[in-house]
Amino acid sequence: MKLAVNSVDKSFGKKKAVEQIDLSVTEGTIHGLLGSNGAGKTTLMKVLSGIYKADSGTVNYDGKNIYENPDVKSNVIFMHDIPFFFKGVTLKKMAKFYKGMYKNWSDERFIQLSAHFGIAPNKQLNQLSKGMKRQAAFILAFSARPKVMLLDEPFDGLDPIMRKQIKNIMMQDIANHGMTVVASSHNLREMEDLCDSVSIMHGGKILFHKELTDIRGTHCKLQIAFKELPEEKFFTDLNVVHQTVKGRIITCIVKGDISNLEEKVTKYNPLMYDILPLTLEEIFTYEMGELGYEISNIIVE
Amino acid sequence: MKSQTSLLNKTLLSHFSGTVFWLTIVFMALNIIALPVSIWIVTFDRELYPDYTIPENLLFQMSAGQIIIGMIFSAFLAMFLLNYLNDEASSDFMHSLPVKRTATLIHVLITGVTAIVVPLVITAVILLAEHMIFIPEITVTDIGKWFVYAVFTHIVIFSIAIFAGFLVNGIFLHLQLIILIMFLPLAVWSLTFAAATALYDGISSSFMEQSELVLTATFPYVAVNQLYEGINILHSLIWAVAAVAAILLAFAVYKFRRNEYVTLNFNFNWLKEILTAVTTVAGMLAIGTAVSIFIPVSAVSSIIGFGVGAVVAYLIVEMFFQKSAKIQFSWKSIVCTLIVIILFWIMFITGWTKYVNDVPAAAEVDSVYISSDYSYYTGETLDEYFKEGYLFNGDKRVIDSAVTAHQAAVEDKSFPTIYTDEETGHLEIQYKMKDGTEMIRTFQTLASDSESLKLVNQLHQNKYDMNSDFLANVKQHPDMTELWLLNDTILADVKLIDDYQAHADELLKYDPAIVNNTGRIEVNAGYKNNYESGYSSIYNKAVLEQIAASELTVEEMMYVDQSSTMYTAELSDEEMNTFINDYKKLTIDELADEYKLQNLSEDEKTEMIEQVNNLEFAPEGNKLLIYSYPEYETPEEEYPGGSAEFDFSILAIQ
Repeated sequence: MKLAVNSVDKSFGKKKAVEQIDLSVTEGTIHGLLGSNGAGKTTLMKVLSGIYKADSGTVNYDGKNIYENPDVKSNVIFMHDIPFFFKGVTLKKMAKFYKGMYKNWSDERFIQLSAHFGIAPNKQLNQLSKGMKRQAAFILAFSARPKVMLLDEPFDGLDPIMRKQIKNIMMQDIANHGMTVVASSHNLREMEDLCDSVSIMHGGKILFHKELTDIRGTHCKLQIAFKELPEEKFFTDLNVVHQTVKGRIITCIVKGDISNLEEKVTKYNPLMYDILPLTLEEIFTYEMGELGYEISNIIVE
Repeated sequence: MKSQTSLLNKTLLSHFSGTVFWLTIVFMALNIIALPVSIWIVTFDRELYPDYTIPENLLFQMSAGQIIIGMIFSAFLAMFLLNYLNDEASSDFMHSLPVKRTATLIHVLITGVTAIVVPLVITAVILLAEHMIFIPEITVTDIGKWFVYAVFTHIVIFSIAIFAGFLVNGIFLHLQLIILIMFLPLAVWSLTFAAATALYDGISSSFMEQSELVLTATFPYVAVNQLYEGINILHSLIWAVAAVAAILLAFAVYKFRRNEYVTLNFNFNWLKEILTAVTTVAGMLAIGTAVSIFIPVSAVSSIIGFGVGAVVAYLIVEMFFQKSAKIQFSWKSIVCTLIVIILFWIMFITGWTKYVNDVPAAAEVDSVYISSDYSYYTGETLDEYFKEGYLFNGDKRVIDSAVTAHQAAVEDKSFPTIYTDEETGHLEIQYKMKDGTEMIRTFQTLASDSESLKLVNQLHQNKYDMNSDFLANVKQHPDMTELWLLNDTILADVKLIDDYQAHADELLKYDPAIVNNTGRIEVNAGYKNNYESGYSSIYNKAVLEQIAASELTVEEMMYVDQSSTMYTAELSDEEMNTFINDYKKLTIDELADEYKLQNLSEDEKTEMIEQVNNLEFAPEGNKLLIYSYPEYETPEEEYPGGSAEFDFSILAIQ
């Protein structure tokens, strides 16, 4: 399902929690919603999941509004940052509830995933550890086979191996069923190898929204050492958009056609050089800097 | 939810039913104990009490406990069913499900109504079985009526509790709000009345008659009261409409407020401010009134009591509403509460001052009851059980005197609760106005020799006060089940009423001072759904015959055998009236000195008791027996005690 958010506002009293949000997430992709605590990520996720009604604007899945629309909601699962289960309930009973609620529920998948994660179906969920609870929440969510998963801080409390396994299952569902995922996080590195596109929120607004493949095709990081530092022409020739200089070593972000970058670099007789892909943090450092925001003020990790 | 066309979601119904399953089981068990088991116990061993007949409306009379249990259950039912709204995680989870909010609420309502109705149906089936097997007196119609009424009362409470659930977030707050909705108006009015009684003299002693509106606005009271008084269709309809309105409002609040403010304690801040202010006023009145009554030092101590009460009540209310002992103060809330308190006191002082000083014009009064005794009567039942004129006198002279006495009492009254030795008088005035309304005033700070009490005594000096005689005025009513004389010691036949009334005029021949003030006996009449009590004269021939026929002696009936001190007085006709007035004013020692009373020795007492047992009374004579009530002890010299009237009774003897 394609997610389209247009001019969404959401306020609580006089406080605007999210403001003029425009967002589009293509079917079968993972979108990362990044931002510091209090940026408005959870509120936006709740608007996206139909828990909150937008004060203005629309949230559509394949052109259909989600708020109070059971047809759309039956294909959308929202996983809270703290998984919720009914009091005293077992995984099996919770699965029964999900089965009654979500039309695509798969018993087979539930049995497979329960066995895979090693959670006994008759174990009381509230007795589980934080990480186990999150695994149980993922088992239920994946078994419901939603077309859209909205995940709020999805990997908190999971160990690295479990994160990897869950990411793999998610990727399988995206590949096999075209599932769309929107995951919010305040952790850039965690989302780095997962997302197809990212947005960054601050003060209730989306400051930045890009496809990562676009950025990686047009931007790269160049580390280069000279006997003597080059003149300004070097930077304009290479279309450097951001640079740091330490002694005779320059680290810069280059934008534009990077296919013949090596050819351009060698003209300046560097002692050595290395062309690297950009990390998410570097992309944001550059992009947010352009927008006038210091990344350190927005993402704290 | 496999079928999108299904109106009901079985999973959601199953979830909500599971939430309240054990609560419903407890309700059902209590229902069965409260009705079928209790009725079985009451009617169990008929052979042991062959004379026992099951009252006609036993089921309704005994269902009060079940109705109360059911109303409490209905409130808890709503609290637990809507508990998902109280916590952000559960609220988000439930609202992320593919179910509309309105549909969720419909499922809550269906579950709740089912949880109410099913146990009642089971209880009704058990009652039917009892009817068929061993209690035929409980008719199927009665069971049907009880079932419908129980469902009605429970659903009204459930509906209101459901609406309350959309106003707050937190199960304890939900409980508080249900209690406040149900009882705050009654509590505020009761405490206002109590505070007024503590601060003003001249307030009506009849709280119930002054509180009809607020009692009608208290559904639990209405629900239980109707079991005994009969169903009031208008009141029931009003509450049914209120229940429907509560449900519609619940849907509206859910639709428009959407439970998005789940992290706040109150979904509407203005509601919190109003409730804080009004509940603080109630707390202020409770503490201030308690201080006024228990520490009756001065008006200043009362004012301090109310001030401290307001502060303490505000802090407690904030703790409850903020769900924490560590409260956060809000200027808005403090200012709002202060404004409400100031407005309350402005209305309180102006309203009650006018109330206690209001004296009707004699031309507006249809009839009046005025007495220096305490009144036991209830206005509503007078017309039903008594002849016209009972207690109330329409004579113009009496009305004029009553109005004059009332005016004098208004001028003489003082601050209540701080009594002086002189303030022993009591004045009860009840007017029936020509426009159909009633006006009741009670004064308790009057001196016994005050102008108003003198006027009342003068009214009773001329002739026997027939208007106040219970047996002279009571009707032969088909609902009367029993008639008791002399502190419930003689169960009289109802034909005593006719005999008494046939001899009533004889009382008019005696000295009014004697028959109005001595030989007064308590009479109690039991009715199917009521009880009445009053006073008559022992000097009536019908009463004397009834006593003579009894196995008990007068000494036992009137506790003369338990009297430790007895005096006799022989007075001239001229002295009699003054003596009676002094009896109400002087201590027994002062009275004995003043009138040279003869203190009886043990032998004389025995002789006197025999005379009393032989019914040798003489209201036409001048000799009085003044005997102490049981457990009377002669006060020490430094503590002379109150007036003789409080410790001694009088009989006119031969």
